[in-house]
Amino acid sequence: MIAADAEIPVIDDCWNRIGVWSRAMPRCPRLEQVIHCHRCEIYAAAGRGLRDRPLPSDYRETWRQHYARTIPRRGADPLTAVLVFRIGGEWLALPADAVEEILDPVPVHSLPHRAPGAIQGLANIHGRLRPCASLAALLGIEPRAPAGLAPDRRRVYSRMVAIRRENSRFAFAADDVWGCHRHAAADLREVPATLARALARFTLGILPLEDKAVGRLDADLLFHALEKSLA
Amino acid sequence: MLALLFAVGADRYALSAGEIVEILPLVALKRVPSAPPYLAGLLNYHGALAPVVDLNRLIGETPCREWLSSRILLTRHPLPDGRIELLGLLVEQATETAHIAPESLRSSTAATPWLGQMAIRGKELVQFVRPAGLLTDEARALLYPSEREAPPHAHPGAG
Repeated sequence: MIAADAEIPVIDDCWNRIGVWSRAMPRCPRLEQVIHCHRCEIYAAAGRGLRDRPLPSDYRETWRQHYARTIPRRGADPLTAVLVFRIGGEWLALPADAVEEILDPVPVHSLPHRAPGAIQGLANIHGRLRPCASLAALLGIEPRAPAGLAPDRRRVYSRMVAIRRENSRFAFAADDVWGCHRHAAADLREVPATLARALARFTLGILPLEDKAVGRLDADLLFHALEKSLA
Repeated sequence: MLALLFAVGADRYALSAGEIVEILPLVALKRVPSAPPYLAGLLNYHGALAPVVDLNRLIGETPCREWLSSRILLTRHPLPDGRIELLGLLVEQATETAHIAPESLRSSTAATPWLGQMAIRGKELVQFVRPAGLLTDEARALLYPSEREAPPHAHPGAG
């Protein structure tokens, strides 16, 4: 794939002669400024210069075939990005635009004179207090993961998820955060009748994802319920 | 603002990253017989037809070299009748992006429709290209004939 030697521009590899990869003394005076050749513009320019060479013989045709392929269209159905996380034994998803940040677990300070419910207390997130919700309590999920769920040798980290819609900010503890996923509205399956009533009320549909059945939560309903339980 | 830097002749130019649909390698293009020299050819981009204009030929003198660093910048080109078509710009030395602060932009002195603002980047002077102003009416009529209203996938693969 590489063009004939005669066409390759000659490179002055000063990084090997007087740079960080040489034992020669004295070294390049530029190192006092840039510390390492990686940060030097001469090194960067030499790297970009590597592409100033003729094309390999089959290059243009190979790439032509690559771009001539048609891509199956998904239609006009727009994709929604969701954050997939686990509460107890349930995998759930919230629209990614409602998620501000995923943090390491943060201590939750309980509020005096309040019966424990959906709002567990306050959490200090970057110096600001946020009401911290228990989605397990709100959605009626058994807080502990049932035995046997312990997954596939993957290490599981519990996380704090900071969520926000307009001015209402909350946080909740998730037993695991899987990551982001994009889905179309058509990917949602009907909510099965066996789902716990409280959870079913907040679930728009079930999203099959790998070996998981993820409950896609309705963010509007969730924020509304969290606001109500704050009052 | 993120911009892609490239060269036309000895000068550095930039294209705002927001204008770019995709940066393609120098793929084989379908030649157009008896077309003006600035038309490098036609590209089949996943079933859509895009004319590719050699910027070196359009605003410079020599054609783009067939080098690894020469690339096709695929942009969306709005037509006067409201259609938006793909336009490929073949440029040299498209190997670097740069963040350019909007406050460092100076307006350019030239009255050329495709020349945008200037930015000073270290020792070099970079000028933004406005792809919407690149084609004359005549060139536009040639590259996007109005009878081409069939859906793009009706065209067989270019090349």
